Amino acid sequence: MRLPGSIGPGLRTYAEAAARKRAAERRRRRPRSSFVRILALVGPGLIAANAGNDAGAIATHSSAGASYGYSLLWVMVATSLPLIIIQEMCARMGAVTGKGLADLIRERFGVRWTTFAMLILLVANAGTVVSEFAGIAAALELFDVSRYFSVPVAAFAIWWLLARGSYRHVERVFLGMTAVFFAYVLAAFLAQPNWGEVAIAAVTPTFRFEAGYLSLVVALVGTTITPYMQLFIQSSVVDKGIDATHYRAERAEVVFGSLFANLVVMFIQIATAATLFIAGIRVDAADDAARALAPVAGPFASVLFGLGLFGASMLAAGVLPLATAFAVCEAFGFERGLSRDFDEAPVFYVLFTAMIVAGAVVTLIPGLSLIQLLIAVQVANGLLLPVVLVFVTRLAGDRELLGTWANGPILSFFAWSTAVVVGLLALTYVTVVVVMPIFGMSIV
Amino acid sequence: MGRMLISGVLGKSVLEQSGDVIGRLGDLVARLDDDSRPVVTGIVVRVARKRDLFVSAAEVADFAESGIRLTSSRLDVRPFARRDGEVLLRRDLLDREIVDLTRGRLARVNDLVLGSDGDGWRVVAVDFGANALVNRLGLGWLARKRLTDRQVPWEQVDIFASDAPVRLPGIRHGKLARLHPSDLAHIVDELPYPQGDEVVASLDDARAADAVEEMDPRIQAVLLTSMDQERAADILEEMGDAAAADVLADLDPDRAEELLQKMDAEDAAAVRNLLTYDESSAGGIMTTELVAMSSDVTVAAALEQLRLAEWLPESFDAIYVVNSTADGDFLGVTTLGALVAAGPEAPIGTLAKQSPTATPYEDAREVAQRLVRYRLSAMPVVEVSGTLLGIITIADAVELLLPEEPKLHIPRIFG
Repeated sequence: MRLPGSIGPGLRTYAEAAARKRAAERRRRRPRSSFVRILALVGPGLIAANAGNDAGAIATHSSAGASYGYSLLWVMVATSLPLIIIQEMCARMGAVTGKGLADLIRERFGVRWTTFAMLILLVANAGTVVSEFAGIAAALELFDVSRYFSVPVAAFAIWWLLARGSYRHVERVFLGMTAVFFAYVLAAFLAQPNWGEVAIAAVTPTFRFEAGYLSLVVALVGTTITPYMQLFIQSSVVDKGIDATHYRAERAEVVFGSLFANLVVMFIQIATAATLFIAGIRVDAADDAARALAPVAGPFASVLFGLGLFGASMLAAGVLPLATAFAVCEAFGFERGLSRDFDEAPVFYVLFTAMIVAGAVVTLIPGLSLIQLLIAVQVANGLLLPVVLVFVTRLAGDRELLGTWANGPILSFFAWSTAVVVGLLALTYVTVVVVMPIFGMSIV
Repeated sequence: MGRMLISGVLGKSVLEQSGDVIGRLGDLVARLDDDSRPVVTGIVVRVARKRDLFVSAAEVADFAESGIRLTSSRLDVRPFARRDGEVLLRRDLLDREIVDLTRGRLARVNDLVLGSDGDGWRVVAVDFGANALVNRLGLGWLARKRLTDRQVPWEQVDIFASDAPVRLPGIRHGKLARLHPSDLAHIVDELPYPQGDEVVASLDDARAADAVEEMDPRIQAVLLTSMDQERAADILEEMGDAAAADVLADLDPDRAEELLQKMDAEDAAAVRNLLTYDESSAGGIMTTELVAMSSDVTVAAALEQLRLAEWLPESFDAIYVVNSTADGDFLGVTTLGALVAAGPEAPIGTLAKQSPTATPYEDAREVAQRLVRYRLSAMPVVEVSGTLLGIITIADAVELLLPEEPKLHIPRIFG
C-alpha cells in the first residue's frame, strides 16, 4: 500500500471513521438503570466467589447447623484468616511464576515428592468428585428421580460434554443455578434468630472431644480450605493472564472473595440452626436440609434447594476431573489437554474418565447415606489438607523462586501456624475417631 | 567416552580421598557460555541442613553410583553462592519444561545425560522419555519395554534463562528463533509469562511480529501490555494491519490508544481505520495491505512502480484497479500475470476484470464462506458508495472458518 504514486487504500479519511466509531459507541452504551449496572458489575464476582461452595460444603454446613446450632460458627470465623492467607499465597505464586501448583512442586521438589503430592491430590479430588455425584443424586431425588438413573446419565453427559470440549458452554447455566444459595441469607433473617446469641457463638471457640463434633470441625475446615481450591486459584490466576505487575488488584479480589464465601456459608449454618436445630431435626437426607429454606420458599423449599445443589454439583463434577487430570499430566510432563486426541494424550483421557466413572460408581453403592458420604469426603479433605499446605507454604517462602514476592517473616509465621494447627486437628481426629476405638477407648 | 545420568549421582555420598563422607551431592554447577554443551565446573555438596559447599570439578576424582570421590583430603572448600553465567543442573534444569526443538514443542526434563571426553564432564543430552521418569521413581522394572526413551542431544534443545535466579547471557534463543512462527507462537502460548517474555524479548521485531500474529489472543494481550511499550509499538508496526487491529481491539481502550500513539503515524492510521469495524463484520477481518492502481496508469508504468516499491504485500499477485475519475471507485482486479503478458502502452483499466465484492458491514463468516466457495484468493471489500476499503484474504477466511481448537481453561469462576 505504500507504493509511490499509486493510490493507497486509506481511501476514507480518518475523521469520517472516527465519527462512525463514536456513533457506534453511543449505541452500545445505552444508559441502563443504576441497579442493573451495579448488579452487572458485582454480580458475577459474587457468584464466582461462592462457586467453591459445592455439594460437600452445603451438606456439611447444613449438618453443622442442624446438629450443633450456632456452636460451630466460630470455626468459620477462625478459618477466614487462614483461608485468605493460603488463597493469597497460591494466587501470588501463579501471578509471579505463571505456573500451576503441580508444575512448581515438580520443579522444586523432584519426581518422588511430586508423585506423593499428586497421589494426595488425586485421592482428595477423586473423593470430591464422588461427593459431587452424591450431590447430583441427592438433588434429583428431591424431584423423585432415582439415583440409579440420574447418576449414570449425569456422568455420561458430563464426560461427553468434556470430551467434546463444549462443557464451558453449559458451565454458566450451572453457575447461575448456584445463586440459589444466596436465598440462605434471606432465610436466616426470616427465621428471626436471636442475633445476639449468633454473634456471641461466632466469636466463642468451643471444643468437644466427641467423634461427631470433631468430624464436623475437620469437615468444615476441609470444605473451607479445600486442597483443590489451592490448585484452582493458582491456575485461574495464570489463566486470566495476571502477572506480577497486575497482581495487587487481584489480591483484593482474593481476600474479598474468601471472606464473602465464608460469610455465605455462615448464613447456611444460621438458617439451618434457626429452623432445624430448634425443631430438633437432624440432617439425614437432602429434604431435611432443604427445609432450612422454608422461611423463604415455603412449600417450594425443596425445589429451590434441589436446583442449587444440582447446579453446584454439576459445575464441580465437570471441572474437577479435568483440572486434576491436567495437573497430574502437567507435573509428569505427559501430553495433556482437549486439543490432543486419545492416542496423543492417553494418560490425560484415562485419568479424567476414571475419576468420573469412579465417582459415579461409588455413589451408586447400595445403602449409602448420601449426606454421610458428602461429609465423609470433606473429612478426608481435611485430613489430607496439611500435606498440601506444607508444599504450598514451602514454595511461597522460596526466595529463589519468588524473589521479593516470597513470604515475609510474619506471613511465613501465620502460614506455618495454619499448617501446624490443621495438622494437629487431623491428628486429634485420627486419634479420637480411629485409634482410640481400636483400643476400646472413647472420650464421650 | 563416559556417560552418566544426573539422577544416578544426585544425593549420593561425597567422599574425601581418605574415604570419609563429608556430605551428599546436592547439585552440579555448569557454565553456560554460548550454544556449546555446558561444562560441569563444580559440585554443590550438602554437608548439613541449609549448608552447601562448593567443590571445583578439578577436585572431583570420580562420579560413581557408590559415591563421588574427591582427589584430596584438604579441600579448598567455600560456601556455595550462585554466580552469573552458571546454572545448577538440578535446580534450574532438571524437571523443568524446556523446548524440544526436534518436535518444536515444550517437554519436561526427566533426566540429564552427562558425557566425559577426558578433560571434564559436559551435558550432552536431555532425556524427555517416560522411562527416565519411571527409573527415577525406582520403578524401572515395571514397564521398561512399553515406555519410550527419548534422549535429545543438547544442540536440539533450548532452555530459559528466567528459570534461574542469576543472569545467563549465554542463552540467546538463536535456535528457537529459527522455528516456524506458528510453532514458536504455540510454544509461547504454553509457556509461563516470564519465559514467554524472555523468548519474545530475544526475537527481532519482524520475527516477534510473525509469532505474535499466531498467538492466542489472550496471550497477545498479556505479552504486549507487560513489555516495554516502545517495543510493543515496534512489534505492532511489523504486524499485518488486520492482526494488529485484532490485538488492539482486545486491549483496554486507553492502553490501545497509548500504543497507537507510539506507532508510526501511517501504520497507526491504517489500524485505526480497521478498528472502526465490528470484529464479526467483513470490515473486521479485512486488511488494507494491498496494491491499488488508477485505471489510467499504463502497464509499463505499473510494472515500473512495482519494481521500485519498497514494500509489497505478502503473497502478492493481484492488483486492484480503481477509477481514474475523481470518485476513485473500485473497477476490478487484474493479476501480475496479466500485467506481464499485456502490451506496455495499454492502460491498466483495460485489464481489470470484475470480481465479487463484499461490503464491510456483512457478516464476516458469510463473506468468508463466499470467498471459499468462489475459490478466490482474496475478496475486495467495497463501501456501498463504491470506494475500495480493503481485501479479505483466503488465509484469513480459512482461519475464521476452521473449528476452534478446544482448550482447557480452568473456569474463571474459581477465584
